[in-house]
Amino acid sequence: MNVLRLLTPSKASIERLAQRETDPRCAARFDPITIGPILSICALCALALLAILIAPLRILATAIRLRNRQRSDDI
Amino acid sequence: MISDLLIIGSGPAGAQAAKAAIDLGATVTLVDCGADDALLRNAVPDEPFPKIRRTDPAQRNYFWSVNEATEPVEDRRGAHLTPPRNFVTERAEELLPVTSDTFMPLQSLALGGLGAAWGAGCPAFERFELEAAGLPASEIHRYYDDVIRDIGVSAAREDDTAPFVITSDSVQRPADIDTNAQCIMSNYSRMRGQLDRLGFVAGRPPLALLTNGIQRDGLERLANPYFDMDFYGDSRRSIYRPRYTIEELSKNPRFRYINGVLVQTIREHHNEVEVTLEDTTTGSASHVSARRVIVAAGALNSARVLLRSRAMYGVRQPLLCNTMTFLVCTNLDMLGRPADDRRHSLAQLLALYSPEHRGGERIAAAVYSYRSLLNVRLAMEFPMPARLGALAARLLSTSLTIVGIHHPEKRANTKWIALRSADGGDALAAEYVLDADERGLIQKDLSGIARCFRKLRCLPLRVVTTPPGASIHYAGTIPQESAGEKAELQADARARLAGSRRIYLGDSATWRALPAKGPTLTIMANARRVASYAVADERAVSVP
Repeated sequence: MNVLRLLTPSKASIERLAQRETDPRCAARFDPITIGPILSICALCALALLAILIAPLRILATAIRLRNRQRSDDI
Repeated sequence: MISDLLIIGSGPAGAQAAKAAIDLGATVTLVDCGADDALLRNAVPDEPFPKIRRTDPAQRNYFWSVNEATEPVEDRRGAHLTPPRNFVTERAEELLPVTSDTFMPLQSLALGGLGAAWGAGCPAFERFELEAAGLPASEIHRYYDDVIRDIGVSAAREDDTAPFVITSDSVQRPADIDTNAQCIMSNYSRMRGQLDRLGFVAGRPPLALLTNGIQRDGLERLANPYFDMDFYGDSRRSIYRPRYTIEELSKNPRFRYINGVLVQTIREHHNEVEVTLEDTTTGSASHVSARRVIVAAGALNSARVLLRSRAMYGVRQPLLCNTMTFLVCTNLDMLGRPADDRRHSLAQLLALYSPEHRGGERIAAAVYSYRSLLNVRLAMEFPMPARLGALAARLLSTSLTIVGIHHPEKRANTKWIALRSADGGDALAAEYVLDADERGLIQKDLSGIARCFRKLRCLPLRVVTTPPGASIHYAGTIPQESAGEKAELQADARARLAGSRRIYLGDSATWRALPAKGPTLTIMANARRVASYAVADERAVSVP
């Protein structure tokens, strides 16, 4: 299985995100962030670094979730 | 009394064929399934996207579907359909089955066919492209004009792409491009010489989007308001949908529209053609007859119906489909910078790339910015938690540049369709496999295009390949007869089914090649041409 695919968000978390993004009260929290190119690059690098650091935990959590689902399907 | 013409399909081809025939004085019956979702479409406010985001508590109904697919975009069929457009593919897999491991087409039973959700790109084909497809260039150019005046096309006659995509003086002034596209064009102006030497030109695309309103009997359409809501609603009818033509024609007493039916077979008799219909709700059969029939159900389904009509099961027919890839880029000059909210949602720019390895053929690249499709759809693709992905999407939003690339297509033995018996009926089997040479050409195309966009300061982040069929450009399933290549089912030079006198093919099924540019304008022009032949043949007079 593609490792990057394992790291994409779960359906449940996407649904929660969609719920917030389509709530008018949260609209401003989803506007484009326009802080200039340098700060944007720094922010993106920070996000990427954070994603890399937590990736092993997320892969483990996904693997456990898939294994539990497989077990309940077998039952 | 039976109609002069029966037209099968209400997509761009069927709608324009019907319009042409009515304008020539014929009586016309048009049949299709006609799926529609006026309820959700009418729920979309006629307001700018940013205002809707902040004010409409019901926005989730049309911005996001609870069943929104979470498969990777590379595997998704119809990834670009938003909830108000989901009706476009309603019941298509059930009623138009395709069995294939290598070909994933998008089909439609909607009122307006795939034109109910199209990107509205309207480039004309050049002479050599028309000739490769087997279409008579001088005639098609005349019908381009008719289509452009009828549906309203805006285009930039002064841009570098104009000589390759515009043949008519009847176009409206070009649509305004957004901040991101303006930035790219500014870089293009500086790099024009270098890019020209690479065979790359860019400009504003011809679009079936009104910059001036159209008003005539039975029709009112207004200029696009730049609300960036074009993926969701049909604000002011500014983007052409074939259903507008059907609605306009429905006011004409010589036009009859039968919907809720699926064509099963076509039988030609001495003086007429009889079409068997199946009611898509009850399953009951009925018949309708006309003097002549134009089959315009799309290349796949026109072939399906005609193969079934002739009981040609297991017979392989050719299949043409442009390969489509996406290049996801960030415009470095827009990173972290604000962009104006005033924009339309369609392609902002069109680039044409003619590298040496393509021997004169052009690769077409439509350039989109990203805003109203929501951050969540981007966050789905990032390999990080949803909240972090949404944050990354916000940072990238104003600089994100999506380049949709269509590659030229030619016939091959590994690309075919065939009708096979299946449970309770039949299904279209299909195979679509690119050989090593074609894959190599596509890789070279991508490398070349990426290089050109880097020169425009658009840094490629990701290449997204789509499954064969995802381009929604299909052709060549009942090709025009030629000395070199044969098929069991063919068409003659007047787009009549070979061996018949009264059955015409009004869509891209007869094409022998499929250029990379969007085919819909040419499909519509060709449909008018075919309609003029059918009417003339019925009247036994020369085509004016």
